Amino acid sequence: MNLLLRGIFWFGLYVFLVAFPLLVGAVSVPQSGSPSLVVDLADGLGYLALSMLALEMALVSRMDEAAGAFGLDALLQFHREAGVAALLLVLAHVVLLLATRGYPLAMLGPGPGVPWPIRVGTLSAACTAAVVLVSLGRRRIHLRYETWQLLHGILAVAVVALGALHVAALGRFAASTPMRVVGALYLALFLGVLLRYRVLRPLLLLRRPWVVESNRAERGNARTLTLRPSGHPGFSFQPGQFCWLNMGRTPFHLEQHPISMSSSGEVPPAGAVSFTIRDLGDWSGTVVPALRPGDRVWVDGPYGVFSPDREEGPGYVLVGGGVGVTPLVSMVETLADRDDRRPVLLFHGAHTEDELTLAERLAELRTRLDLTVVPVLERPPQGWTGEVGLIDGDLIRRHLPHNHRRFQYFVCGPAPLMDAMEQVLPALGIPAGRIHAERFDMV
Amino acid sequence: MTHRIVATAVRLVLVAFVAAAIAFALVVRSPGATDGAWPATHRNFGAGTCVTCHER
Repeated sequence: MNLLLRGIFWFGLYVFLVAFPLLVGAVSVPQSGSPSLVVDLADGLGYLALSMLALEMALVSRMDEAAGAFGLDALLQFHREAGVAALLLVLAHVVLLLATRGYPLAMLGPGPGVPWPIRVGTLSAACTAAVVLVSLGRRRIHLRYETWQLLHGILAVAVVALGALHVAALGRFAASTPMRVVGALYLALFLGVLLRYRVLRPLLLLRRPWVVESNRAERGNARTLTLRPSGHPGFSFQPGQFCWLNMGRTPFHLEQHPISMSSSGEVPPAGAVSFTIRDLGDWSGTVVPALRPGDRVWVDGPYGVFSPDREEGPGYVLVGGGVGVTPLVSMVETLADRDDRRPVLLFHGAHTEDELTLAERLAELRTRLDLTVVPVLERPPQGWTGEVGLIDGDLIRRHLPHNHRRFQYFVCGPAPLMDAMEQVLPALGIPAGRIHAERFDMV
Repeated sequence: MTHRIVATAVRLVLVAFVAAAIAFALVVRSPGATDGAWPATHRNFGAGTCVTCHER
């Protein structure tokens, strides 16, 4: 099945799974008994919201089949935005019920007369709001990634568990036998995904440890970790892909980070794999520098569809900002190892010359393939003769070859660079199907 | 590009789900029921249980 059909299948399945309980409710309870259309509408929105929230975990549970169709970063974005959409439905559910005066406002409070099914519903709605707002504002409130990850997991389970209790005890439609069966199936699906994601996958990883071979400092306050498989053959990967690195004592440790490979995808299956990680002041600045050769690391992957192996073209244009150059270096390494003669043009943006991560490696690779590197500095040193400022349309146009429209374009970097390239590249006449992007701040 | 496609897909899904909820409400509504069906003192929401006094 090609990628488009796979994408349509998974998207269609998602829409079906969210809407299915509503369909069963309408068929099994043809007359709601409610005096108000608005109350029925509120109920419908509530059921949809709960289905969406129950499926949120499935979206990010690293199901290879779905991740292969969309790319994990696209699924993560969908997860994030669907979470906001579900919160809107939850709020609409609450507001409509209050507006019909079916429930007094006091029902949302902690008062002693509030029945427990409503109390847990309110708590579920509050947890939904908390999980969405904390996720959206994590950087603004300076919440550590690791703390957020733990909080997010706990709140997400609470949202679904409390929401399911609320519906089971209170929902007029949930009282019918077909709806009870559907509810049980969805609960089983949710628990199955949770079990697979948090128990089975870590159990598999437990048998496939990796050990640190070297831990080298790089420009741009980054480090390159080279890992080798211990007691297993490791994996092969496509250049541009990434893995989730977990440095806990066991793979059950909740804290893990998506990191791109920076080495060649042409390594033998039992060979070492490198990851380049920039110090962002959190785990990357404390745990990573402390790793010593022989230390154990858990590697879940590879994931991602951001790879030239999936996109044939007469040449490649790569645009990387900061440590976003990492997957692009893996692409260049791989093309060099394959003796690929197609031209590669790489725009490498950074604040200063010292922040051009892996610049030395790229300089070496220039001797092995038709590679042109264009470093672009925001704050150049004295005597700098290269490009200055931000990577924009004029700058890119100055370096593009005449047949650039047929090239494949890969962009990776911080959000401002990605947003700019989404405007710039189509304006240069590049067809949308040849522009491939990955946001490294996807979580 | 993917970013925009995903954002658009979520918006479309949201609109489709709201439309589905409206269709659901229209299908299951009970034309005979009136506001008087639930006395002010008994709010008969949810599995036949009054949410104010818990009476079934």
